[in-house]
Amino acid sequence: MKPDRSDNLEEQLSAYLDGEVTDAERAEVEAYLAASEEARRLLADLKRNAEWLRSLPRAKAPDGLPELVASELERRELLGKEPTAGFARRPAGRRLGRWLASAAVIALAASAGILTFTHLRQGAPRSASGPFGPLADIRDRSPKVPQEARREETAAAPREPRTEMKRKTGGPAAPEAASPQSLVAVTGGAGKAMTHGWATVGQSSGAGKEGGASSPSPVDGAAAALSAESGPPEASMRLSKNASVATPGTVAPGQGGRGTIGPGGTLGRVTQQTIAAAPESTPAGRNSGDENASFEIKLVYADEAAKKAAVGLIGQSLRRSQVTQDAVPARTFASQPTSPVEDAGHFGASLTYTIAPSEPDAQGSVIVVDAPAETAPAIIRAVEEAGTRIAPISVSAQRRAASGWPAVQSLGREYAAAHAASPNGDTENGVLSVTSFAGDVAANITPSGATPAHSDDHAATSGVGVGTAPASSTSLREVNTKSAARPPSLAPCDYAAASVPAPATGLVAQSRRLQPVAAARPNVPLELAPAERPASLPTKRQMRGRADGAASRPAGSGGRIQILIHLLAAPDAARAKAPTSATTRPAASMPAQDVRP
Amino acid sequence: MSPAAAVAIEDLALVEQTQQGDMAAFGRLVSKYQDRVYNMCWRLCGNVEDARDLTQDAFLHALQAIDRFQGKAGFYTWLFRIAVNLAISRRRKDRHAVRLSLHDSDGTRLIDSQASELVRRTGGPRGADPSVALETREAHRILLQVLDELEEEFRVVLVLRDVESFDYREIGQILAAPPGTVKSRLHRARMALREKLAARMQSGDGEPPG
Repeated sequence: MKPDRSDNLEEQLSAYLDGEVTDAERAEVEAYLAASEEARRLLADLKRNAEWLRSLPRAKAPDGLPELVASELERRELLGKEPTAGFARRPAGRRLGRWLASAAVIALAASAGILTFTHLRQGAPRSASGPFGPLADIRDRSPKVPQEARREETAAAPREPRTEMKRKTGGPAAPEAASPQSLVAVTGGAGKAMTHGWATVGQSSGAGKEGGASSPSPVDGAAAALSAESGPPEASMRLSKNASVATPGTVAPGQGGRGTIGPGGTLGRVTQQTIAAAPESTPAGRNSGDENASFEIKLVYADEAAKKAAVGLIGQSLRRSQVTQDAVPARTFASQPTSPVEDAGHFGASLTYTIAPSEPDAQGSVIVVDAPAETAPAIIRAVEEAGTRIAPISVSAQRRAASGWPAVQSLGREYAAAHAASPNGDTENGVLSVTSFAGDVAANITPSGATPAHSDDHAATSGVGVGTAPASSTSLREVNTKSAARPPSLAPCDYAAASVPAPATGLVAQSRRLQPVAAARPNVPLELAPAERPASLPTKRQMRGRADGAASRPAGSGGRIQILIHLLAAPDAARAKAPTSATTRPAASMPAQDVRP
Repeated sequence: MSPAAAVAIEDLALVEQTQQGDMAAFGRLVSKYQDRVYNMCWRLCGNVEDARDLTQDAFLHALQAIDRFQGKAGFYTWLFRIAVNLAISRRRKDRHAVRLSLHDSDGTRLIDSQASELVRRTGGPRGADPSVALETREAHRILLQVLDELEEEFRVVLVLRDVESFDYREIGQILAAPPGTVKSRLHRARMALREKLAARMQSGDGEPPG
C-alpha cells in the first residue's frame, strides 16, 4: 500500500507544483513533504527543471506570417489543392478563393498587357501621339507593306473613308501578315462589360490609354465616320437585325478602347463605343445589349487549311472595310484546339465550343475579333465575304439580355428540333455550348431532339437564369462550374442567342464538309447562309476521317467556318455614361430570335 | 469577466467573422497567436525552419477547418491542437532524418554567433556575466537535447505545460485527453526528464543553471 500511496503522492507533487490540486490534496501533499526528505528533493528537482524549461528563449514568429499564410492560401487555391477545401466549402471561402484566383489572373493579365505594350512600344517611335498613340505604335510594329501596295489597296477599296480614318486615327492601316499561326484574339476594355481576363489586357492597353471622357475619341469619330460611310444601310440594318446593334451615329465618345485582332497584327481596330440607347426604348425586363456594344467574331474552322484561307481573306476584307486601323494583339488562339473547359474560366473567356477537343484529329481554332458596334457591319460583311469565298458559312449573333434564358431555351429547342430526326446519338460530340464572356452558359444544345433541360442549379450558382444542361453534356457542366466560380464582383452576363443556324458548332462544321464555293464572291451582301442541316450527326470515326481529309485540302478549297458574333454590353454603365439618342434603334425592333434564315 | 473569458469571446467573434469570409479577422487571429504557436512548434520540432513551416501550416489548416470550429473549446486551444498534431506528424515523418539547423537553441543563427560573440567581447553592451550567459546557453542546449530524446507524448506535455504554461484543462483540450491523464502523463514526463538530466550530469556533460 505504501508504494502505491507514495506513487500517488509523487504524482500529486507535480500537480502541487503546478497549483492543480484541491485543498484536500494540497494538505495531503504538504504533509507528505514535511515527512519525506526524498519528496522535498524531488519537488525541488521538478521545480528547477520546470523553471529551466520556462527559461528557454522565446522568439517572435517570422515577419509577415499573416502574409505568408495568405500567399500560401492563394497558391493552394490557384493550384486547386485540397487543403483549403474545408474552408472553401463555405461560400465565404469560395468567394475568397475565387477572389484570390481572380486577383491573380487579373494581375497576370494586366501584367501581360503592360508587358505587351511595353514590348511593342520599345523601339517604336511615337509616331502617332495623342490618345491613340499606343495603338498606333502597335500598328506600326506590325508587318509593313510597301506604300505602293497600300495605295493600291486603298484605291481598290470600294469606299473612301480611309483618308478621314487616317486623319482621325493617326496613321494608315497596317497590312495583313501572312502567317495564320500568328492569329491573335484580343478583347479590349469595355468597362463593366468586359468582365473577363482578356478585358484587363485590353483595358490596360486600350481603355486606359485612350479613354477619356473629356474629349471625343478620334477613333470614335473615325468609327462613326466609318459607320456612316462604309457601313451601308443594308449592312447596318442587317446587323441590327441580326445582332441588335444600334445604328451608327449614336456613339458616345470617350468610353475607352477596344481591341481587335488580325493575322500578323492588324485586322481590326481598337475602340470602344457606347452606343446610346434610350432607356425607354429598351423592353422591360430586357437587358439590351444595344448600348455598349462591341463584337466578338468567332471563326470556327474545320481545319488548318480553312483557317489559313479564312484568315487571309478576312484580313483583306476587313482592311477594305476600313476596320483595320489599329490592332492590339494579345492572345493567340492559333493552332490550338480550343478547350471550352480551359477557356471558359473564371472570367468566362469568350469561347464557343469548337471541334471536340477530345478528338485527336481535331484542328479547330477560334478567332475572336472585338470591334465596336459601328464597325461591326463592316466586319461582319468582311468576314462573311471572306467566308463565302471559302465555303458557305453560318453566321449567328448573340446578344446579352436579361431575359436571355427564354431565348436560349428557344434556341435550344430550335436547334434540337432541327436535328430531331437525327438518329445519331452522339450527343457528346454534338453539343453546342455557347458561353458568355462572364462565363455564364447561354446555351447548350444537343441534337437529341429533346428540349434542353433547364438547370436551376446553374442559375442559382451563377446568379443568372441561363443554361440548358443536357445530362450528357460534360462540357456544359464544367463550364457552368466555372461560371459559378465567377468572382462576385463580375456582373452577370447572360446571353440570348439571336440565331444559331444549324449546324452551328465547329464540331458539326467539321463533320459536314460542305462543298467549296466555286468562285470567290467578293461583294456578297450580308446574307446569312442557309442552314444546311445534316441528315445525321457523324460518328467520331466519320469525324476523324473528315478531319484527316481536311488536313490535305488546299486553302480555300473547302472547310466550313462558323462565325459567331457576340455583342457585349454593360447596359448599366452605358446608361450612366451615354447620352440618350433618338437615333438609337429600339431594342424591341431587333428581336434576337427572329433572324434565323 | 475574467481575462480568459474576454479573450475567448474576442476570439470567437473573430472566428465568426472569418467564417463569414472576413479574412482580416483571421489575420488578427494569426497576429495574435503566431508567436505562441511558433515557439511551441520550435520546441516540439527542435529547429526554426520546421517551426516556421509548421506555424504556417497550422494557420492554413485552421483556416481550412474553421467552418467546423464550433466554439466548444477556445480557439487557441483548437489552434494549438492543430499545431501539435502537425508537429507530431512532422517528427514522425522525419524520424530518421538528420537535422542540421543553422540556428542555435536560442534561435540565433549559428553562423552569426561568432560575429556576435566578437562584438560582445570587444566593447559591446555589457550585460550579465559572460560566463553565466555561456553556461546558460550550454544548459539550454543540453536541456533541448534531452527534451528531444523524450517520448513524443512526454515532450508535448512538457512543452505545453512548462514552456507554454497551459493549465491542465487546456492541455487536456489540446491533447484530447482527460485531466487525470494529463496529470499523470505530465508527472511521468517530468520524471523522465529528471532522470535523463541526471544521467547527463553524471556523465559531466552539463549542469543546469543555478
